Amino acid sequence: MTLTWIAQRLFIPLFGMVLLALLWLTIVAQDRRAEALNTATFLLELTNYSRLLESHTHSIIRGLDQVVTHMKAEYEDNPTGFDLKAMVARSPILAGLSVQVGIIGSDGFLMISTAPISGRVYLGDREHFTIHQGQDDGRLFVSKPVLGRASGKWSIQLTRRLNKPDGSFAGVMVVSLSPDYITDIYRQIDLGRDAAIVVVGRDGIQRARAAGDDRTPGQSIIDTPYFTKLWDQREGVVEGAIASDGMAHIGAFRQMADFPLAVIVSRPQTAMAEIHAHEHTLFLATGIGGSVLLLAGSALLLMLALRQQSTEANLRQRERELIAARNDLERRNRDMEQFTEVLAHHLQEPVRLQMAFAARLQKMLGLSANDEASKALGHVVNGATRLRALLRDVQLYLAVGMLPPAHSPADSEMVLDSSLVRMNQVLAAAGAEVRRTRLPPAIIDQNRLVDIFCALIENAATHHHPDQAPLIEVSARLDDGMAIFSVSDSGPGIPEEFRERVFRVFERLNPENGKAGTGIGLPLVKKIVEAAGGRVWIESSASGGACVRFALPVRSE
Amino acid sequence: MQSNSDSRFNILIVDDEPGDIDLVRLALAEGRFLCHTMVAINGKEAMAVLRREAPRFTDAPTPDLVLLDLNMPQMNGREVLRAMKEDPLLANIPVVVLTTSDVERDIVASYDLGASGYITKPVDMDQLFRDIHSVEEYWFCAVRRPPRN
Repeated sequence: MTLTWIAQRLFIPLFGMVLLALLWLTIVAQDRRAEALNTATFLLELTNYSRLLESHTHSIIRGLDQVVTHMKAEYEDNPTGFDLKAMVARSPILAGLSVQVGIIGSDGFLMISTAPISGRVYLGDREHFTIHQGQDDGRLFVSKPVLGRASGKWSIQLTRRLNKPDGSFAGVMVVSLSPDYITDIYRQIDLGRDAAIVVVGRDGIQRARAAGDDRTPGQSIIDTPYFTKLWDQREGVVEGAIASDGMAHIGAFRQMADFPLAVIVSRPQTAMAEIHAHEHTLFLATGIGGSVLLLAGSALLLMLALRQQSTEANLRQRERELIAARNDLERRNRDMEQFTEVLAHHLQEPVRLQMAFAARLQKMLGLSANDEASKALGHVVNGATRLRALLRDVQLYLAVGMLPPAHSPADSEMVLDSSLVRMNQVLAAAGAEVRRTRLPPAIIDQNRLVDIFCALIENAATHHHPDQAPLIEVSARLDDGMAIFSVSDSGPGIPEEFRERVFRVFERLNPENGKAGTGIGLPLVKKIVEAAGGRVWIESSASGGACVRFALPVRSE
Repeated sequence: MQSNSDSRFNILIVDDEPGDIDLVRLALAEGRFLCHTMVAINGKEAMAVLRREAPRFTDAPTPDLVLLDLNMPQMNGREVLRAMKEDPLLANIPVVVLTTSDVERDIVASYDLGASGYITKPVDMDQLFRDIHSVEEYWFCAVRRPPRN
C-alpha cells in the first residue's frame, strides 16, 4: 500500500467533504441573509402599520378636538342659547361617528348630552372632570377608557374645560368615543394572524386595544420593560407581552404628534419565524439534496477511479503477459533461427560429403553406368540429393516466418529473370519452353519472390506429359489493388479435390512417379505469399495443366 | 604473376570436417599450382598458426590464402575473420570463406568482416574442384597479393 495508492483513494472523499462543507457554508449564509431580509421586511411592515394607525388615530382625535373646541367656544359665548343637538347634527365630523357629546356642569352633574339621560348623573369624580376643575391648561384631555355607567360600554373621553366669562370653571365639554373607532382599522387591514394594535397614554393605560377578538382597553403596561422606550424616541421596535395574549410579541411603535399617546402594532415573534420557516425549509432541502448529490457523485467518482485503477492494473498485468509472450516468441524465434542454422550447416554437411565421396568413389573405381556397384552408388547419391533438397526446402520454409515484412515493391521482371537463371539447369534438363508477359511490381521481398518463382517453375518443369516438352507460361494482371501472378504448365494438371491438399507440407500428389519434389515447394509458396499479405490458389490452365495463381498487394499499407 | 621467390603457395585450410579437408586437398593437388597446405581444425588453432604461437607452429609460413569454414567449435569463422582484421600483421591476408551455408546473413556478415570471397561448398564434387581451381587462378594468377611478411 503505497503513499500514492492512499492519496488516490483519499483525494476524492476529501474533495467531496470540502465541497460538502462549502455547500453548507453557502446555504447557511444564504439562510441567514434571507432571515435578516425577512426580519427587516417584517419590521418595516409593522412600522408602516404603526404609522398608519398613528395617522388614523391622530385624525380621529384631531377632528373630534376641533368639534369640542368649536362647541366650547359656542357654549362660552352663549351658554343659555347653546343647542347641543343642533350643533352635533350640523357637524360633518360627528355626523359619521357614533359618539356622545355632553356638558358636565361645574357641580359635576351631567347637564346636557346627546344620549338620553335618566335622572341626574354625577360625573364629578371622573378624572376628566377633576383634571379640568383644578386648572385650565387649555389642552385637550384624553381620558383613560371608562366603562359607561349608563351604557355599560367602554369609552374614552375627549374633554376641554369650559370657562365662564370671568375665566372661572364653568364645566367640561365631553366627547365620548368608543375605542372601537380607533381599532376598527384592525378589521379593515389584514395585519396577519395574532396581530395586535394598542393606543397607550403616557400614564401607561391602554386607550384602545385590539388583539384578535379581544377589544378590552384599560390595561396598564407601565411596568413592562419596553414602556419607557415608547417615549424615548418617535418610533421604534419593542418586544414583550404587548398583546397580553400570553405570547411574546414584537411590535413597531410611534408616538402621536400633539397628543400624549403612542400606538403599537405588533405580531407574535413566532409569526416572524414562520415567515422564514418556508424559505428555511427550502434552504434545508437544497442542502440535503445537494449533499446527497455530492455524496453520490463522490461515491460514483471513487468507484470509477477504483475501477480505472483496477482496469489499469489489469492492463499492466496484460502488458506484462504480452511482454512475456513476446519474449517467449522471440526466444522461440531465436531457437527456430538456430534450428535453421543447424539445417543450413550441420545437417547438410554430411549429406554433401556423402554425395561428393560417392561420386569420388564412382570415379576412383572406374565403374560404368550399368555396373551394379555404380547403380548402388547412384542410389546413395539420389538419396543424399533428395535429403539435401528436403533440408534446403525445410530451411527455407522455416525461415519465412522470421522475415520482416517488406514495404517496398519488388521488380517482378528482374526477379523472374534471376529465377530463370537459377532454374536454368532444371529447365534445360526438361527441355522446357518459358513464355512470359510483362509483370507488374508487387510488395514482397525480392529474394522470397525468387523462391516462389523457382518453386513454381521447378514444379511446372517437372510435371509434364512424357511425350511432350513442358511449356511454362508466366503472366500477371492487376485486379483491385492486387497483382495476380500466374504460373501455368502443360502437364496433367491437379484434380480439383487435391488443389487444397497440395499446399500441405510433405503432401505429394504422385510420389511413386519419380517426379515428385520434396513436398515443400507449394507450402513454401503459400507461406511466403500469405506472409506478404496475399493468397494463392490453383486452377486449370488453358491446356489442361495446372495453373498456380498468387495475388500480392501492389501498394504498401 | 607471382613474384615471391618461393614458388609454392601456402594455403591455410581452416575446417573442422576431415572429409572437406580431404576434398579441398584433393582439389588443390589436382590444380595447376604447387601448393603447400596447412590445416587448422578450428578457429583457435587457425589463429595459433597465423600468429605462430604454439611450438609446433613457430616455423609455419605466412599463408598466401586462407580457406575458412564458418561453423567450427571453439572459435568460429566469423571470430577468426574479426581477429585477423584487427591484427595488423594478419589483416591483409586474403581470406576466402568456404562453407556449407548459403544463408544471406552469413554471406553479408562475412563480407562485412573483411572476407575476400565467399563460396558455398557445392554438392557436386566436380563443381567443388572447379571452384577451388577458380580460387587458385584468381589469387595465384589473376591478381596481385600483398607481399609475404
